[in-house]
Amino acid sequence: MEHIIRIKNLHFSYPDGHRALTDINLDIRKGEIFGIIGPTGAGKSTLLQHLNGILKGEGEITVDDLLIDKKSEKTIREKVGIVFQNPDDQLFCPTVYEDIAFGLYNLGFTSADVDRKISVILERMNLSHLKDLSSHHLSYGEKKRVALATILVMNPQVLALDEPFANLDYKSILMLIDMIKNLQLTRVIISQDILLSLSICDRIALLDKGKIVKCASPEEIAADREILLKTGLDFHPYVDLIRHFILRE
Amino acid sequence: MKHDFIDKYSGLNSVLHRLDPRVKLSLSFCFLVMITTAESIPLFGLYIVFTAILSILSRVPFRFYLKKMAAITPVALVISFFIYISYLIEHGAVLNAVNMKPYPGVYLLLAVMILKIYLSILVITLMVSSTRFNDVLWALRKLKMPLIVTTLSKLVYTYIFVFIDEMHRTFRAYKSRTPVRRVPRFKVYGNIAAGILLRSMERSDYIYKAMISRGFCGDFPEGNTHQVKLSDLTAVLIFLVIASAAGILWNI
Repeated sequence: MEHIIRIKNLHFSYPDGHRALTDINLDIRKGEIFGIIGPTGAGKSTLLQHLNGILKGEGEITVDDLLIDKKSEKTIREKVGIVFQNPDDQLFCPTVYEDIAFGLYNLGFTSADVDRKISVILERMNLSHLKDLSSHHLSYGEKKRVALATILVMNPQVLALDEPFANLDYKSILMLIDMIKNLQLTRVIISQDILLSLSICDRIALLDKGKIVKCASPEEIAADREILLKTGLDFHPYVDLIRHFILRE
Repeated sequence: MKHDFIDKYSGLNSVLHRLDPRVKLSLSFCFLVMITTAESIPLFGLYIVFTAILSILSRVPFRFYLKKMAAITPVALVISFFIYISYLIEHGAVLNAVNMKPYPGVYLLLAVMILKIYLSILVITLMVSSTRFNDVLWALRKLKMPLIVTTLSKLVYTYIFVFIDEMHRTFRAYKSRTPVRRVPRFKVYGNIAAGILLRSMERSDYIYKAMISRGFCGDFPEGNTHQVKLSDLTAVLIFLVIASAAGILWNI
């Protein structure tokens, strides 16, 4: 299968000297749902911000065979859309409409095209009734959906989601999973929620202390209890609890 | 959380709201020049009537204008006081305060000054409350205001909400842990202020990242499709009539 993102020997340290990523090597395939999981502070969000050049470390990242550098930044940002963990960080315009329009105008679309594209995305994501509201007046789940709409409307080739399921109720999570699964593009999901990641991802990279400790299929990751225990992501005791107390097995 | 103190009434649908922002901005500026250069009381009569009609047309609640005028009152009083004192000094009245004669000239001067201040505030409030902030910036850009000014204004507009958000959160946390004792503790307030600033900076950084990840490169997209309509031309015509009337009254 063709690769859309290739990361080679990526290292990154924050200005205060904290080393966040060490020797990251990853290939993400076109059209797949790729999960990056790991405990808090593992460097997941830092890695995600490298995918469209917001952060720049040492090493090489290519998106659709285009090397991320100063010259290619604009094109890369058209290709890779990032949905941040906190929707309040993503929604900064007075109304939902303007928030969604922001990226489109930056891409150079005319007002008529922007109007048309926004109507389509709002309809698709069942957000039409929120069009003229201020994003500050929305519920958390609605904000998450609007934040996703602000990126999807730009029609990226890669959709990168930072903790998409955090702080959502089960109904919203199921709705979001359904939405993510039905998208026809490459999806990169960063999450601490290993069970949800295992259930929707095609492949998963396990990140711990800035290093990739395993990259495999969900089944292989789930079976490797040693590494799950080591990274603090062992979910089996919870599954046992559910079996015992809820399913009465 | 509600942050509509800037765009509180700009979403209304009135004759004024529907006007092109460029026309509104230009006419407001011209009207402000006319107000600040006016000297005669009959002229102010005309301006007061015109501004009152505009206020009614704007559909913005009258108490909103009253609040703005009340907010400017201390400034108006201070200015008036200094004008009064300087006038008296100029006419040698302070040295002879016991036998101070009435000076009708100073009262006229004060009345004119106060009228200028309140009318100017009313006109600015009318302009701002009937136009979205983004449209004001757009109009400024179209009227050849330097890009740096409009971009900075837009960034301030965006980040001021972040700051207010963080302030609310921090004070909520503070109040939740100080249920009874609310005496001022300056050290605590200092820490709170520092915390708010740091958290605002951190969030602003995230917002900036969100902006650049959606193609922002220092210039906010315009996104407006305002076009000068017949109603805008009518507004210009009415304004010209008012200006002509003002010219006639000026000579009386």
